[in-house]
Amino acid sequence: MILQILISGILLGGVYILASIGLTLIFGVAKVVNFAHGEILMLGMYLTFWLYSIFNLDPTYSIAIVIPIFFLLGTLMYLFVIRPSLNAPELTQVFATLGLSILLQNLALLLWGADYRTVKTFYSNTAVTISPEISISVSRVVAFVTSLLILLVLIIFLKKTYIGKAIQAVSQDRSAAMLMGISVKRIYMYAVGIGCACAGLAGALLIPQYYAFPTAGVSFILISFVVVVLGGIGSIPGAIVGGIIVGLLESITGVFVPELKEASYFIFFIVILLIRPNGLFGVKGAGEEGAR
Amino acid sequence: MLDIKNIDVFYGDVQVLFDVSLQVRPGEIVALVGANAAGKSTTLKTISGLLKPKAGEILFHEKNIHTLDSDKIVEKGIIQVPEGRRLFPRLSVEANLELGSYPKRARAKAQDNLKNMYEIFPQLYDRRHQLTGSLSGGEQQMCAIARGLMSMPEVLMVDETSLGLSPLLVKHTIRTIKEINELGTTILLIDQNVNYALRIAHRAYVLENGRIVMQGEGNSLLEDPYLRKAYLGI
Ligand SMILES: Nc1ncnc2c1ncn2[C@@H]1O[C@H](COP(=O)(O)OP(=O)(O)OP(=O)(O)O)[C@@H](O)[C@H]1O
Ligand SMILES: [Mg+2]
Repeated sequence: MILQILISGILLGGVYILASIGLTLIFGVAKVVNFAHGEILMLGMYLTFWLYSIFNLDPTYSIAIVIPIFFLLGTLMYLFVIRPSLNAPELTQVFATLGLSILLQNLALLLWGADYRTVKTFYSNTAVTISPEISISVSRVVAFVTSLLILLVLIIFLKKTYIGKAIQAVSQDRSAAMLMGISVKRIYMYAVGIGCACAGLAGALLIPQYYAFPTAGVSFILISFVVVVLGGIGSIPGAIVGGIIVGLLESITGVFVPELKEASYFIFFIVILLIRPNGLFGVKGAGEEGAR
Repeated sequence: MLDIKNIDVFYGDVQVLFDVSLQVRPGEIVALVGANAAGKSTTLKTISGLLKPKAGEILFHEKNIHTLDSDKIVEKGIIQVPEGRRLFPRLSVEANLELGSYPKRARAKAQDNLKNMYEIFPQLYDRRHQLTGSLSGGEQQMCAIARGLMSMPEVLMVDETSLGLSPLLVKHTIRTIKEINELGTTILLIDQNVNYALRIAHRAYVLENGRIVMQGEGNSLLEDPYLRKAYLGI
């Protein structure tokens, strides 16, 4: 029983990590909170849904299409929504991405209606029974493993390539990065592109277990905020640990106090903020030296 | 080769540099000295493109650079080692050095240059996997200078070469700067330690309240009664 709860919590956490990591990356680098992150994830669900219904493409394969499309979508979002608001007051920045989030919800409603849609893969309803007490849903395992692989690729990219190192440099000291010859604006664009690709991917991996509908992103952005603040804003290791913790918390309370499932991680979140205001892995002042 | 002509620089509405002009010729070590808040760092920030002059111009090899973004200026071969080193604290020594070779002009030779840096600064080799946030002040300064050199600059600008270092380390840093210069890199340096700065500089400028008030050869400025009184306390 306990093992079952732990396993499903960790499996859930894997996808939460992917959903949150883009948010923390965009904030860490460009110091912009992307309130449209949940809607990007929602669009990732829809794209994967349509690829499945029209071309019969399995969600796991559709990530090859989701990555470039959402990277491009992210760069466009940077160029047309975030960049124009970079020098504006913080409140204007909030309105820019919040406005985009509402726009995308309405657009989805207009295009696809309010129906709940999902993808039923051949493994959607299969579960592997390990012992009489433990059975694991195959589609959750697929989503978890794919998330981890993508995460691994992202971390290697950040550690090994010039652009990856430049992304880290900009998030640690923006003006020093400029003095090293790094075009900060271009790095912002890459970071937003990568962040959106992660959100889109999370949507693609979640669709076999969840429904796509115009406001599907809302609950995920709330979870992502909890994960990001819990781990420490801008911290990638923080998002990883935060994702697992929130996944575990959700599966534990889901069994024992299902009514309090969503409330529980907010309570946990407030407690963490009281004990460690910068989050578990946070660096003091991560939000300073803003984009201005 | 680097020609700063009559620049006025502001922070918002506050003017900090007034009609500042200075030249750096190929192969020279030029020092810019002055009291706290005189505007030395502001001058370097303007050369690097972090600040834009309201009036005047900056030429590099006879071409305007004051309209360019900072990354384009680095690409042209002017690098700055900023005040307070400004290493990336949560990256290793080696990753910091590799970021020094971010400009396209330096990437192809990054591996060779990295080897050279470890030869010039052996203590950095020993600490190459350590995060720079945990280095000592002297090691950080070496790492910052090495990171600057990784960009293969024509002009290396160093802001506060010796601040916070022990006298022994100051001597070591100054000697390193001289050696780098002898290997062909032109240097523009700022140092609070006017005595040291003037000793190694071929030429120097004295900045007071945002204005250049004196200039000349390093040695002759050291003999100047006004400068001795105001900056060396003799
Ligand atoms: N970001 C800023 N905004 C507003 N004013 C600034 C800023 N940076 C520097 N100043 C002001 O500009 C003046 C020159 O500063 P600058 O840093 O160039 O002096 P400095 O000669 O480098 O001094 P120090 O030896 O202390 O480093 C000072 O009066 C300082 O207060
Ligand atoms: Mg200064």
